[in-house]
Amino acid sequence: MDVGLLAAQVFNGLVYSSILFLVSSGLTLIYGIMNVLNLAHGSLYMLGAYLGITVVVYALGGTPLAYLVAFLVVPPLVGLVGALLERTLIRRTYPMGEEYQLLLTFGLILVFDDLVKMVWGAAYINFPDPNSFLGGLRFGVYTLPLYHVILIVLGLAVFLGLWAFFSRTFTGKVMRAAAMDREVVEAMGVDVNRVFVSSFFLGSLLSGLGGISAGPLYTASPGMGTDIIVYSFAVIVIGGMGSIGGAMAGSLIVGVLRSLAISFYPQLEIVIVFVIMAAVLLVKPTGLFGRPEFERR
Amino acid sequence: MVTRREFLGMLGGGIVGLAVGGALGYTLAPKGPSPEEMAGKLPGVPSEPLKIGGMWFLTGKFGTYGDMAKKALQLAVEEINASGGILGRKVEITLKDEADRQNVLQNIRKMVEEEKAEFLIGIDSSGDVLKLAPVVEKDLHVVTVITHAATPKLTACNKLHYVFRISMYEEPIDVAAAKLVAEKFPDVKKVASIGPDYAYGYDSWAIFSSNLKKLLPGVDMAEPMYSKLGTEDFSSYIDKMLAYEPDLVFSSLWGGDAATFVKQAVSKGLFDRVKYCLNPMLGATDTLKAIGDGNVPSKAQVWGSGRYWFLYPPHDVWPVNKAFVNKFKSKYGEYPPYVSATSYTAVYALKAAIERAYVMKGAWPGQDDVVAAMEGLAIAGPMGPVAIREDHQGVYSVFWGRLAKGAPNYPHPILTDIQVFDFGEVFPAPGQTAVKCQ
Repeated sequence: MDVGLLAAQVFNGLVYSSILFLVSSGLTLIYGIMNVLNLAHGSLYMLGAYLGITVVVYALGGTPLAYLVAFLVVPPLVGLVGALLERTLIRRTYPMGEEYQLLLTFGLILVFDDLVKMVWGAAYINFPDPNSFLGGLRFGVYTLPLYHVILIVLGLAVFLGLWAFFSRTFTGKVMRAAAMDREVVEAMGVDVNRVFVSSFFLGSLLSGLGGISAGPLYTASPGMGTDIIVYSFAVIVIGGMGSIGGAMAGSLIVGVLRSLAISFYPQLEIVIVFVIMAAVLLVKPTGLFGRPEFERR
Repeated sequence: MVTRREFLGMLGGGIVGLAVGGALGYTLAPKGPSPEEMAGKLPGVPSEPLKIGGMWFLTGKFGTYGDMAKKALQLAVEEINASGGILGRKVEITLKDEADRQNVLQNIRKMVEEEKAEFLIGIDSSGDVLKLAPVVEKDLHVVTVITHAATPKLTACNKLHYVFRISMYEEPIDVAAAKLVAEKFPDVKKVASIGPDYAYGYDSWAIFSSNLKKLLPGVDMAEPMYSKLGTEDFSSYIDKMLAYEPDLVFSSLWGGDAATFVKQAVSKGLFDRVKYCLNPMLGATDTLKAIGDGNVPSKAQVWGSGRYWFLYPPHDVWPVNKAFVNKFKSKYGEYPPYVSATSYTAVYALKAAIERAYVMKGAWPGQDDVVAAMEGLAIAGPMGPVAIREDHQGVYSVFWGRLAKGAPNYPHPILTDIQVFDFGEVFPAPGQTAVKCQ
């Protein structure tokens, strides 16, 4: 086996894992705290990419500063959109049951796809590549673009940040408590509605961050949220629904194995993710990290 | 392989010349009488409008194709109706959405049986065209002009009567690709490839690689790679190519996939390591826009082809193209994509065939008369003279051009250094294809 190629493919897998983690951690967080499976989570990822294009390309002309501004401004904006969705629409489905949530959030996917078409058009749009000014590191025939390295670091930093937030800060602990027992937390004087809207804000922000991180690598098009939501769903099922650590483990497994499959067993590229998912469901239906941070009673 | 001379012999050079001249006349004609003035003046011509039914992807992921077609149809219909319609009949085109996947055949049937469309045009998907052709042939019996779907099987594996294809299909482009490599880059030793993971990707590689093996027997070829449509991340494919150290990459990716691949290949340094990259689908303005001037590689040569390129034939030698490009640009503010050119030509092909049949018959022609008039017809389209062969395939020359920055003259990258392959060199003879029919 070609060791250089193996290393290059692991690296490629880690880049994809990093983006998968940003999106799936948001998905699992919202599910863990609120028991809402937001199918439109991928649309917020798309929104992150498109808003990023607007800031980087149209407003600020693709300079390094433009990327910095976009990374600071776009994720909170997407977070606000998510919070707004929770307040206006998703909240109304809580008394109605999960099938209504799925219907509503599936409908939102279609609405977002059409909104993107109305604002940015149906054609795919190129998000300029920051590697043009960042460059890359050479290893033999392979190039590791610096932006890819930054994404891996970003994924890791967000993972550590989330861990610290939920285990060390008061707000984080309240969020976990609200997931465990809503009534007791309410009885102790915490405004649970605020906890819910905050977790939607944070979860959506992460998806928006995933979108703006992925944008410069890929090509933006309406419907780009569909693939990522399918893979993110596989990730959180593998890792354990509601578990941040599980989202990380699932992202690493899916990202790296997919990349290795392309190089060494191309026929397995798509199927491998779902084979692993099925295997995990058979052996440990709660996922690899079956004890989520957001434990429910 | 048919030589150009044999080919013209088959067609009858005289008819070609006559029809090219005639078609040129139509396209460039000054404003003639209006349909109202012409209506009822020609004996045997009905007075009601002539209805054509069209189908493209109008919505969804591939909705841009319908948009391109609509723009061109609007242009063609305006021009034709402003100069007397077709034999005095005003032309009306109604469209249905190919993205309505469950109802493709029902919608086609509806257009013919309920909405009384006399002719059909369009169809983007190769799968759809292979399902549709038998229905038209056995059941609907209306002349149908295909403008996009590119499977060789349509015309090579079917005995067609009512169905014609005016647009270039994939095989001649891939044959020309092999010739381009053999003629211009004979130093190529190792070839890697990637294509979309469905029939087109596999066919395209089979045609290119089998032709290249004949022309440059010493070339080594890597196991071909296939990615699913809409792949976002090509990094793993690119590194696998790099491990093989090819000097030429053949990519049959199209649309957003082609643009994403080029962009990621730039940042992964692929174009610093390979000398050439060929993509038979690169000559599409939507793809070139998505690539952007910033991703045009400076070291490797990237070459592209397609069904039509707005700068070929050159505007000074082929005024039909110049007129089409200028009208399209001033009306829609962009250079015409290939689907626009083929859709536009399809309407004019129907017009020319109906008129030819009318002159032969002296009365409004039936479907079989139009079929007879279409066979051997030649028409001056924006892509050059298009001759309709006995197998109902429109044939015209194939171009390959090198990717270059568009600035300052064009808003997106362009193809330059155009190499032309005459149709006799690159179209398989009627009924022949390198692809297996079953």
